Amino acid sequence: MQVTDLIEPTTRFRTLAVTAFIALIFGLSGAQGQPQEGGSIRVGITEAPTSYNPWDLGPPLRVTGLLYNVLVRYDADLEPQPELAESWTLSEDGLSIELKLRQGVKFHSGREMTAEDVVFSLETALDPDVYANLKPLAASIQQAVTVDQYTVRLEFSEPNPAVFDLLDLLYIVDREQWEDIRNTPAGTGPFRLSDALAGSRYTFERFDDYWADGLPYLDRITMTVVSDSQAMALNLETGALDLIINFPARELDRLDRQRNIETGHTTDGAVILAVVMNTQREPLQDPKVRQAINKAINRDRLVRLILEGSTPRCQPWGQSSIGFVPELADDCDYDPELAQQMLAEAGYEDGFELTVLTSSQRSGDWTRFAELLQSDLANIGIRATIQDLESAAYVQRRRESDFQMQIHNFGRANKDPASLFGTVSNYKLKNPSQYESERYAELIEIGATTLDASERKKAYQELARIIVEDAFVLNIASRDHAWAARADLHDLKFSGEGSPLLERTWLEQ
Amino acid sequence: MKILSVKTEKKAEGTRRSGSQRLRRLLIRNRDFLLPGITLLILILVAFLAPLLTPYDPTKQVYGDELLGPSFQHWLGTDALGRDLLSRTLFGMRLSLTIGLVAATIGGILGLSIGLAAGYYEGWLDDILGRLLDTLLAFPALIVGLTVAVILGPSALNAAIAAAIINIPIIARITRAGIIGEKDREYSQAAVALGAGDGRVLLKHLLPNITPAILVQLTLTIAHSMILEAGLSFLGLGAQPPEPSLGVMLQNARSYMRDAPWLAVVPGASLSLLLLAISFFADALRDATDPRKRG
Repeated sequence: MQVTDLIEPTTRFRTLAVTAFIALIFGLSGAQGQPQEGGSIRVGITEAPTSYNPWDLGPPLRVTGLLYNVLVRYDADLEPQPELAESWTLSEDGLSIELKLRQGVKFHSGREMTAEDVVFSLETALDPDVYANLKPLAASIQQAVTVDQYTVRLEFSEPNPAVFDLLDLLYIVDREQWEDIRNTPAGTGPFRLSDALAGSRYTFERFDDYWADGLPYLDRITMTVVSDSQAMALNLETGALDLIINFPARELDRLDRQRNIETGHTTDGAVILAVVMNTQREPLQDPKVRQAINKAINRDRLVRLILEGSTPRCQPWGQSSIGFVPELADDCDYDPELAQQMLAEAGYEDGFELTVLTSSQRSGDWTRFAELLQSDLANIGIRATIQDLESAAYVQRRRESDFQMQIHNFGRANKDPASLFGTVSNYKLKNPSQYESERYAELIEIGATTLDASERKKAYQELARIIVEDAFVLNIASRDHAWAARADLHDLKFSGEGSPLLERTWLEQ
Repeated sequence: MKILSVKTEKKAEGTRRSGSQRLRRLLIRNRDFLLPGITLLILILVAFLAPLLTPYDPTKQVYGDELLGPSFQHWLGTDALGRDLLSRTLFGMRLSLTIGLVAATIGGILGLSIGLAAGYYEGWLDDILGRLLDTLLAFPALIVGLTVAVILGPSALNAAIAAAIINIPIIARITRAGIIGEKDREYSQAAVALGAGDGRVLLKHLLPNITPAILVQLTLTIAHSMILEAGLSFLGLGAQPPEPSLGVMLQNARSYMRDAPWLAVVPGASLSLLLLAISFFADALRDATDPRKRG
């Protein structure tokens, strides 16, 4: 018997109607998923870019993703994906990598990008005057060779496991336009700067000769500097802005509850809030005291009160890292009684006085964390004074290791650990904590020069143990910058450094 | 004219009273004093007795008690770090008042000295001091506050110093103007003629006659200093955490405006109430001491 025979005509009609309706919905949602071209968006940022040099850290990061491309970019899973390089081959011995460049890539000046620009960019990026931070990643690069117009070969003196970390940060700049890079951008990015009112508004137009066909979708991006991040959040709610980047984590929850606003984090586990301790100052030179402080910090409360949506950290890196040691997680559990006991064992039953450096100018969250820390420390008898410094003074005191304890955050915690030890000052061999240990140096060397995965894993796991045990830097929690946007803005992406990548972003119209 | 002045003087002479009697009469005669006076008195008492009145340590963070609404345990609720809001507010008021009083006292003494000297001697001294005061007066209060905070570092004491600096020219100018108006009057000339020294003429004869105007200004100065402290603290350049200051509390409350509005309302209302009480009090004081209104 045919099934349809059993169904009454009216029912059949109804089934048809329902099917059609479902199809209609699917059809609509299909159209919704289809990127639309055109439209302009207004982006709110808290600090004005001070330069268009792609290697200047800090506020310029907000615009580098629009103006520049890299050869190879990590995706969300930290897998390298082709960008300006179409393909690459790593030699068997790990001593060289050959990159095939995309052809017909144009700079904003209209000139075609060639292998020479890549070599120039690499040499510039490694120039200590430009960006000393990148140098350790490329320490083993012996030379960069232009094989032909579209092929570049990097030769290493020893295997370089962090080579993609380097390539992910290696912005390609126009070698003929480099001189004035601070004031005039010179990249191949999807948008070009069309108008800038220094310190307040920056307008970017779609770059029509962009190498990726049909991209970018948006016609125009206007970045407006709103120094008060709460006012910025309000601007998004009232519709005066379409996308805001870097606002207090507290606002995130409230914005997230609104139907027409989407939120997220620009980086995932890349930025870590940390307490840096000076191992050469009384009484913190005693590792026991530092460990006691580690146990006295209530990380869960901090996350709940200040850094909503982030996760407490004990090791510098997260679970996905090769250096992650699962057993270490308990070492940072909140235990004030144990902390007090440890302090007593170290000979400080009555606690001591301590000064904590922070800088609200650099981050409001730091100072609020300092208040929590102060209370945590008071519970085990340490009387802490908070010193809130102006940004430049803070940086200077840090550079000169002129502090007992300071609040800080560092980035790139989601990269290969080699990058962390090479470029993040908290963990470099010469660090603000003035921490030194032979084994520490040895392990960093092993990790940076060995290609064998299991040996690197062993080295980094031991480093994780040393870091937690010697407690010269206390990792507190991931502190990733939040973004929020109107819900009809789709396909937002951010680079590992937190720079917005808007080439595939489209506005539903 | 002359007869009239002799008459009033006689009347004043005939009704000489003790200080407390005079004050009581003043208060009874000027009903305007009543409300701001009593309010101010209560606020001052409550603020300075804060350590006795408050049930909690204003800097103690109770873990787990964050952002509680007003309840029986915490009359005004708790702040984002689990600290009792009532305790913090009272201590904050105490800090505000202390800074206002300290700034008014320091600024008052310095301003008074400068004003007396400039007004009495005039000439080149007046020119130099006058220009210096003008220069100081040209800076907005907040700019002076920011400068002091940058040079001396941010703290509640330094906010008081900044407020004191700002008060100097205000008091000095009023003093100077008063002295210049009074020193050529007959009683002053008479004192000089009788051989009184500069100090005696200034302090015994001239100062008492300009005191009311200065007193009114000093009262307002307290209010201005409190606003400056709150402003600087709001910007993170005044009182440092965890010290409870109304300005700091307002700053912290900003991020919780929607979830816990009382965090902002309580310190804001307390500060407003204090300032209003002081302003009305100063107003009433001016009316009471204004010779044109004196009966």
